[in-house]
Amino acid sequence: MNKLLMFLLTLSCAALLAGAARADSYWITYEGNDYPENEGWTRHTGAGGAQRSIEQGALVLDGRDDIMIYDAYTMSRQIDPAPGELFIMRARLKVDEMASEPWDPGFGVASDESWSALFVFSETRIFNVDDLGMSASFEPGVFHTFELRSWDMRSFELCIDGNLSLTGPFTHIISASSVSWGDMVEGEASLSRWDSFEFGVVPEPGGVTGMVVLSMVVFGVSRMYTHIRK
Amino acid sequence: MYASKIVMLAVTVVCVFNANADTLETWGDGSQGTDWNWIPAQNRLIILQGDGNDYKFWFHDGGDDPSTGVIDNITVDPNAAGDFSLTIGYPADPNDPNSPLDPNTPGALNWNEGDLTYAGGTSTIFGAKLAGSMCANGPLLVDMTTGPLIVEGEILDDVTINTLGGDIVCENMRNLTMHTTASEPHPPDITIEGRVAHPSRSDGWGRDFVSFSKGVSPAATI
Repeated sequence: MNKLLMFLLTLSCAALLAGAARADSYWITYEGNDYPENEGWTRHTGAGGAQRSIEQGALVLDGRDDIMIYDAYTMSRQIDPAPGELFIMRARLKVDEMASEPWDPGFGVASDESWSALFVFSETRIFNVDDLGMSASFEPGVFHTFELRSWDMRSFELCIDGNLSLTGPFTHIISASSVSWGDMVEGEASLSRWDSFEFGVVPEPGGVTGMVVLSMVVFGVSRMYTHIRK
Repeated sequence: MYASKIVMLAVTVVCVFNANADTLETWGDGSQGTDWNWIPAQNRLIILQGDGNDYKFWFHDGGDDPSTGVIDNITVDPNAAGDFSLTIGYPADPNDPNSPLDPNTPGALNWNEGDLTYAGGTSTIFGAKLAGSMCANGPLLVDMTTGPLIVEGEILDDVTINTLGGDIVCENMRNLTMHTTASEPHPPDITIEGRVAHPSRSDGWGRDFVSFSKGVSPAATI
């Protein structure tokens, strides 16, 4: 039994390492503890940009003075997942106030082949810019985690606090290979707090590697637990 | 039949890809504000309201000097109501609400690659008009749900238009590839008038042509 357990755990570790060692995998995190341009992000502003501060580990963007204000952050790099990988873009934020309607903060991605998904937020809803009739609601006044996942950069799933809320296609545009977030919209005014923003490519949980890893780990732990109880 | 709800997209601006903070603003007519949104990080324009507005957009450096920029994608809010027209170009006088496009601005819109996707799918889009000097080196994709699409100007390369039953009038087009995905309420009517661009000629133009086609098949190249 011990030999079998060791074999399974070894396989699990090997699969994990194989997945982690893929050259295409990457993960970039901004945690709201510093201004984004100090952490490799490019700042884009209009009308002087928002009044900014760092409060309790979150970036505060106050653009309520002028609807022409925008204050967005982009990072250009190769974006796309390889087969068997998953692209994830995740933002944790709170929209404190909209000084105009209907939306202002946002986040989006443009793939290596110029396929884009772009979303904007009001105090209570998230909208897909490419299909503004597509939106999902969330509780106002508290932080939420919005996570976009794509396996092929042609379609997406969007989860709010872990719950699947929207699905849809990407749109072909000119801009390529970047992610962006912040006070995105010129023409609206808002106050928002960004606790974190992260994106990257990880081994696909539902892929062969992911399934092997998951099944091996679960099976291995189960056998270990059984073995310990004996 | 083309008089109502015409969207006009007139392009004479030298546009190159530039993700930096060029300001997009309307000139003169006071339509700026929450009737439209600009998302510079992805070069996206959202039209929120029709209201009879005559949107005239131009890129500038924050002052009165034109700058480069590109409108990558135009989306119309399904809640938008009313007629509107939309012009993109350099005004002769940015402070004059009635200023025409500046005829002395050199060059033309340069869609280096990718699409200008004019997202239809809403009942508020009844037509589009592309006018002015325009170079579409990549496909120009226009989706219409109903009503006419009017295209005029010097389109120097292939243009692909998807229509869901709308009529199309094209003038001064070079190559037009027409796709339609619906036969109802009726097959699109297409009128082509104009001339064929021919770069080897000194004046840049080849033969003039006039053609007419009605009720095209689901995919036809003219």
